[in-house]
Amino acid sequence: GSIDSTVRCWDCRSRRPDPIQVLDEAKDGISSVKLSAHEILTGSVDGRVRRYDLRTGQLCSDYIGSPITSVCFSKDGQCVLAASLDSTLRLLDKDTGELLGEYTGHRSTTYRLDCVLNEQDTHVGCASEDGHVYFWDLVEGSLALSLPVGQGVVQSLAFHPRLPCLLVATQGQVTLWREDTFQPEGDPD
Amino acid sequence: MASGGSGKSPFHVKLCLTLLVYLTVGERIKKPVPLQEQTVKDAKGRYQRFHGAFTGGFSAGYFNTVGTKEGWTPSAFVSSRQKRADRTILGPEDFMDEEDLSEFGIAPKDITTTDDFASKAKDRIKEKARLIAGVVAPIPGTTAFEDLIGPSKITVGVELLRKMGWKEGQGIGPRVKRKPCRQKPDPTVKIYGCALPPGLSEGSEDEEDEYQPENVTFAPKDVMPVDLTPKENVHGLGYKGLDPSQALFGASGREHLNLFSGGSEESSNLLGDLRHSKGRKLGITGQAFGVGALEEEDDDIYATDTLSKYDTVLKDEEPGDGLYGWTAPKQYKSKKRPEREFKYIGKILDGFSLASKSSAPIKIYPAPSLPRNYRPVHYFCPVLTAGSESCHLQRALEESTGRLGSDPAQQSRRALSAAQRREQLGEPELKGPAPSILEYLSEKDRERLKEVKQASEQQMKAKIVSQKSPNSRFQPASPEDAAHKWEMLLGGQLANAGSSDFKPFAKNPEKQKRYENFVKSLKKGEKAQTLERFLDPAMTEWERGREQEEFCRAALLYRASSSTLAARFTRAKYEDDVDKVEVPRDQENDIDDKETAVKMKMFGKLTRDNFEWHPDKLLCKRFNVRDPYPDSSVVGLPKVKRDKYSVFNFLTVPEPTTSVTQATNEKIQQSNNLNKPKKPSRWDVSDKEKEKKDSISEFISLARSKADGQQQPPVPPAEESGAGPSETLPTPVTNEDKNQEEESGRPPMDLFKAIFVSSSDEKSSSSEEESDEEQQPAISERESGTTKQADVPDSSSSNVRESVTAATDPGISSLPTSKQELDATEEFGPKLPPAFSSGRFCEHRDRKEKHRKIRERHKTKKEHKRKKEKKKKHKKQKNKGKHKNKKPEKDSSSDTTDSSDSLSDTDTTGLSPRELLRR
Repeated sequence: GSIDSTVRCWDCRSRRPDPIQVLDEAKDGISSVKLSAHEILTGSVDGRVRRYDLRTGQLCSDYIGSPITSVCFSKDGQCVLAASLDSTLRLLDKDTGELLGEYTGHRSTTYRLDCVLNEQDTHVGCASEDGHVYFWDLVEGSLALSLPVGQGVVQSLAFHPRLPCLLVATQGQVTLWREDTFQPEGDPD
Repeated sequence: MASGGSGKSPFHVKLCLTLLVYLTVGERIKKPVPLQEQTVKDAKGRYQRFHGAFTGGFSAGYFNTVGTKEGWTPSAFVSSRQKRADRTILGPEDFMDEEDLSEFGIAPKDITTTDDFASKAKDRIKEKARLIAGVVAPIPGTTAFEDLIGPSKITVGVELLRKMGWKEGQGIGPRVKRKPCRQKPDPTVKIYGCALPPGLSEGSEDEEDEYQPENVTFAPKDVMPVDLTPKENVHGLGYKGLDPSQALFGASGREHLNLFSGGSEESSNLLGDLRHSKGRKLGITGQAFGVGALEEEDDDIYATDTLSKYDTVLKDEEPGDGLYGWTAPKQYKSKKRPEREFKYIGKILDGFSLASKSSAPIKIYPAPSLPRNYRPVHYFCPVLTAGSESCHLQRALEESTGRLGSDPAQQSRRALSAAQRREQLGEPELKGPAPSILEYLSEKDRERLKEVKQASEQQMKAKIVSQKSPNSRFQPASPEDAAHKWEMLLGGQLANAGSSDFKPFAKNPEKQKRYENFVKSLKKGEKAQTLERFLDPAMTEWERGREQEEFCRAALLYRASSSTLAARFTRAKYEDDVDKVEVPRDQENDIDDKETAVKMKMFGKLTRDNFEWHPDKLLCKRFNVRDPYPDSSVVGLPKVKRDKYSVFNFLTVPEPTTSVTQATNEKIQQSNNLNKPKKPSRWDVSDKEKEKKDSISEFISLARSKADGQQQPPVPPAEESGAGPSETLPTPVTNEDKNQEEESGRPPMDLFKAIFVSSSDEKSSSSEEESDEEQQPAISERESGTTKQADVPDSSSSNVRESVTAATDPGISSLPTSKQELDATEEFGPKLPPAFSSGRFCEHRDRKEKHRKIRERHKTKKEHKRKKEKKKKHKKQKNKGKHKNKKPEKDSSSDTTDSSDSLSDTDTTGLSPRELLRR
């Protein structure tokens, strides 16, 4: 994903310098790219989440409105989480594009912040510009936890794919959060 | 070698061995390949074969074998009986390798310059050599053989000449009448020799002339260039040996441009008879050779030489200049005059026509004579400085220069407005549909304008009084005044005028610059006096006043027009001169719609665009996914060439969901509201959204109900228990809906699926929970639908079920009406059997439920989520259940049929997205 509004796919095996395919459907810079087994999910600043399905050969473009900062698949691959610059996370049904959930409370207006789903798809997390990491209950949509990690903007966020383990980067420090050592970071179970 | 040494002493053997070793070592260093084993390989590494002397001979097959590298492959026998007719004849090229066709092969195919177009420099050298050879050769005719061999060459010039009607042997130039040109033998000229008998002079030209009509013209006789080669041989004078063109009767021989044809005319005449023989074999014939043994005709070998062939009079041989190619200046002078008058009568090339008029001679106009008192010295007028105080000075200056005398009339004429002119002429005021702008203004504005006007008028008057000039009335308002006025008018409007990309004076860059400065300063709010400095100081005050006014007007115009116009036009997407443009076949449609959809939080169908997208083949491979479009070579979004201005570029297929009328929406909304005042959840959407959602779902369900029409037998009134409250909806409305639905067609299938499938999931999950209902799948399915729709509490559901079973009999009774309904929906499926038994009815339902179950097995992914949701749902249902108490009473009385059933369906399906949201 690049700021020139294209997603380029290179072939790592052939070591060719030119991409094998350029996805240039976006009208603005690509802020986030995620891959599943057969899909390419892109979030663009033009306010669209595009999902390229290689298996069916389809491009699904969901209009969100405000610039997308981050997208991710749910673990079951049925939903798409999109964070946008209107301080909102939206959970969309992958197949229909319907809005399944909306999560607000954090602040995301200028930076490109990450959003995550936890390892069991029970919670939705997102970094915030107020130095917290927010977690919502996926189903309820209620704020489950706001994790204070620093003063500045939480730049990056990553959740362990299988363990309840969170990696947070903020202001030159990277912190790892585990439930047993520290707070139950957004994992009520 | 070793074997040779083996018979000798061991010492020898040893030596030989060492020698062998040395040899092998030497081999490794370099082993000279014997000449016969040296091979030449071509670019592809194949051995080059030498066939013949150079590359001659065809190299066929693979390494001079048949077939290919893999060997000879037998081709399956194909009967050529059918296509015997169109069997192609194979030429030698078909058996050639590609290198044979290359530049240095035996049959080069490359384009090379032919001799016709090759540079003539080389030719000239050849010619010279040929000439020399011809001269030097013991038999002077030898060079002729070269001509025989040489290919035919017709230069472009000759070809052009031929097209214009020139023929060989003719001279070049306009056709002339022969008679005047022909010089009759002067009577004064003495004729020597004996006079010819009249009979003898058969070919006499004089005689021929007599038969010529007046209007027949002839080509000029060919000019024979003078042969300047010195005579070095001992042949007789004029002896030419063998003339190749005459000797060879083939076409090639005739096609040669023979410059000497005039000279050889005689010989050709001599051989005239021979020339006529057609189909003659190529051979050399002629006087010198006699008649060959192979030639059949040997008559007239010894052509009779007539005296007419010889000149009997010593005179200028040729009419005309008689220069024989000499270009003496004196002669040309005399020739020039007739040349001007001549008209070309020859054939004119296609596409050209003779000019009817000779080009007119360039007229030369004499320079105007200067007045006597003219002095070539320039006087500069004193530059007028700007400012009001200079007004008088300027006036004085103008008067002094005498300008004022003539100018005011002109000025005033131009400066007068229509009203002023009318005033002067005493015409009545125009009464027409041209109401003043003032009428549109509000009272306040009018007053304000009046004030402004009065103020400016007063100023004007003051100025006029101060100037005390009779002309001042007709003068345009002085620059300050105008500027002031305009300033007032424009006011702050200009302040927010856009950047000066509006160029009213683009033609006059200086003026444009001045204008830009003017506007800039006007924006800053500078005074009129200061504004003046942007005007050209070299101009007169009047001009400046005008220009200022012009600028102001332009600025105002710009403000008015540019903003309004700019809003209406967008930058061109495509080049103007291209007719067709590549348009992505599917374009993400209007964002505005989506914006509103997003605002209403109606994600899903409205915000989604589905396109066909072709992944790269390699990408598919790397993703370990089968290529979805194995046949297409397109990568990315498929594009189509379209006419740029095609209507179809601007047509977007209206989404069926949006075509639902507001009226129905509202009605459904009402009914929905009546049905279920919900507990507000986090994901609850705004009313508007609900409305739309419902409309969508309503729509789908309508279609679905039709589709299901044949599957679902007429509904027993018990069904109404579910849809009881929806009874408030009058049936005519539903009919209306149907009509609309039919008009707009069915929504796309995926929309169906999206809602239908998910709702079935919901149902299935709920049915799982309610284990008792699973035993009666048919009813439970219905029930689950109704429970969701009407939020019947679990406890009451059993009651309802009972009522359902109880009401099956009335269902049968209601058959007639349902049949009518079926007739209406006939187009969607086969007709149902006329009579239904209740048992059969149940069977149908069973089948349907099974279908659903199968589907639900496929869809177990989301279950862990849904289980949670279910609990919530039940809570909600309980809350809502209160409203459903009245249901049972109603359903008994209700006799609505399919239509209401479809409505109930709509509600169940319509709910599904919302329920999804509720998760």
